[in-house]
Amino acid sequence: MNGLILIEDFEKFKHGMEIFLMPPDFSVGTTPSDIIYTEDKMTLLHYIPTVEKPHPVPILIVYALVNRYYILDLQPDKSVIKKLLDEGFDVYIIDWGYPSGSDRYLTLDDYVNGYINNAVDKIKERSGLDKITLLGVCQGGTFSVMYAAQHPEKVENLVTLVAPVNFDSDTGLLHIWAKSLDVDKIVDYYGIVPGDFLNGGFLLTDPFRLMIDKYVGLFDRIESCQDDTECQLRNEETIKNFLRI
Amino acid sequence: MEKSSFESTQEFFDLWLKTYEATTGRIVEMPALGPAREKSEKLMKGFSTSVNLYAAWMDSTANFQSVFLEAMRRLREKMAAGKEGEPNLDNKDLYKLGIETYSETFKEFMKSGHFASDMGKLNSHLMDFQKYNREMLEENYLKPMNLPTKTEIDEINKELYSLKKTVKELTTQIKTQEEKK
Repeated sequence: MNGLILIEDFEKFKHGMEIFLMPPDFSVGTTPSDIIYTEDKMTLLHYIPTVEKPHPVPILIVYALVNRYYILDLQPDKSVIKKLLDEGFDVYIIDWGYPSGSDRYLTLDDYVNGYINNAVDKIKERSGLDKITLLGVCQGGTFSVMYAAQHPEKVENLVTLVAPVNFDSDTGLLHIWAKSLDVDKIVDYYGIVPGDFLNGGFLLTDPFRLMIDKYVGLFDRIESCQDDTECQLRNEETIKNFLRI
Repeated sequence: MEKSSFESTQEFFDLWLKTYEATTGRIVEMPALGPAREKSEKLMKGFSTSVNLYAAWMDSTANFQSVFLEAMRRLREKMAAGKEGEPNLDNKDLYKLGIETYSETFKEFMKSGHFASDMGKLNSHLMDFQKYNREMLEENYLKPMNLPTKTEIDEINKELYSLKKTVKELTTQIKTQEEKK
C-alpha cells in the first residue's frame, strides 16, 4: 500500500517538475487601471469602473510598504479589486514602489500626512466630494488608522484588514519578538531594512509549514494524469496560482 | 520542555567563553600602544565583535538543537501511541504527524521569552559585526581608493530628503496663497 502511494507521489512530483521546467505564463494585477498621480516613488492608481454609475464615495486602498499593492488583485477570477468594481465601487490604490537608499529618512509623518494626504486630496478633487472611504490593509491599515485620526474631516468610512493597531500585546509571535529586538540598531545599519530580512522573520513564525509543507502541499495538489489535457490544464492552473503568490 | 543532551554542548561553550574572556579576551581588550594606536584599537575591537557574535550564534544553535531533539522525542511518542491504536500509518500520515509535531514544538519554543531574548542578542551582535566590517571596508579600502562610501551616500541622501521636503512645503505654501487670491 505504502509502495503504491510512493509511486503515485513520485508521479505527481514528476508532473509538477515537468510543468516547472516549462513554466506557464501568468500575470498578476491584471485589472485595468490608470495612473492619476505620482509623488517620488508613490503612484496612485485608479481602476477603471466596470459599472456605468459607480457608488459616489470612492475607496482608497492603502497597502503595506513591505508587500506589493496587487496582492488584492492576484488572479483575474479571484480578485478583491475586481469584486469591488463589479459591486459598483470606484476604487483607487496606492502603489508605494520599491524603496531605495534615498527613502531611509522618510518618517511616518511623510507617509501619513504627506503621501496619503496628497492621494486623498487628489481623489477628493476628482470626485468633487469632501470625504472618501479608506480601506487599509496590513501596515496600510495602521497608516489608515493614523490618517483617519488626524484628518477625520476627509474620511467618510474607515475599513481595516489585518491591521496591527495595539502593539502592547503578547498575542502574536511578532509582538513578542519585537520587544527583544534592538530595532534602532537594525535600522541604523541597513537604512532600508531588506525584504529578505523581514521575510526571514515571517518564515520563522511557522518554519515547518512555511518552508516545507507549503511546497509539499503544492506537489500534493498536482494530479497524476497521462494524456489527459483537462487534467494537465488543471495542474498548470495549480502551478500558476502558486507562482502568483 | 524536557532536558536534552545538547545542554552539555551549551555548558562546554559557556566554559570556552569564560576561558576566552579570562585569557585571550583580556589581551584583546588591552589599550593599544605605539604610533598606530588608533588603528590597532579598531582592529582589536573586531575580535570582541566577532567573539560576541560567535557566542550568540552558538547559544542559538544549541537552543535550536535542543528543540529539534524535543520535537523528535514527541514524534517518537506519538508514533508509538499511533502504532497501538492504528497500526497502518502510511507515509502521508507520518509526514502530517511530523510536520504537526515539529511545528507545534517550534512554535512553543519561539513563543518563549528565552527565544526572543536569544534572537534579540544574536541580531544585535550581528548588526555590530556587520557595522564593524563596513567601517573597516570604508576606512581601509574605499577611502584610500577615493571611492564613495555608504556613509557619504547616506549624507547625500539625507540632504536630498531635506531639500525635497523644503520644496514640497514651499509648493504647498504657494498653492495655498494662490487659492486665497
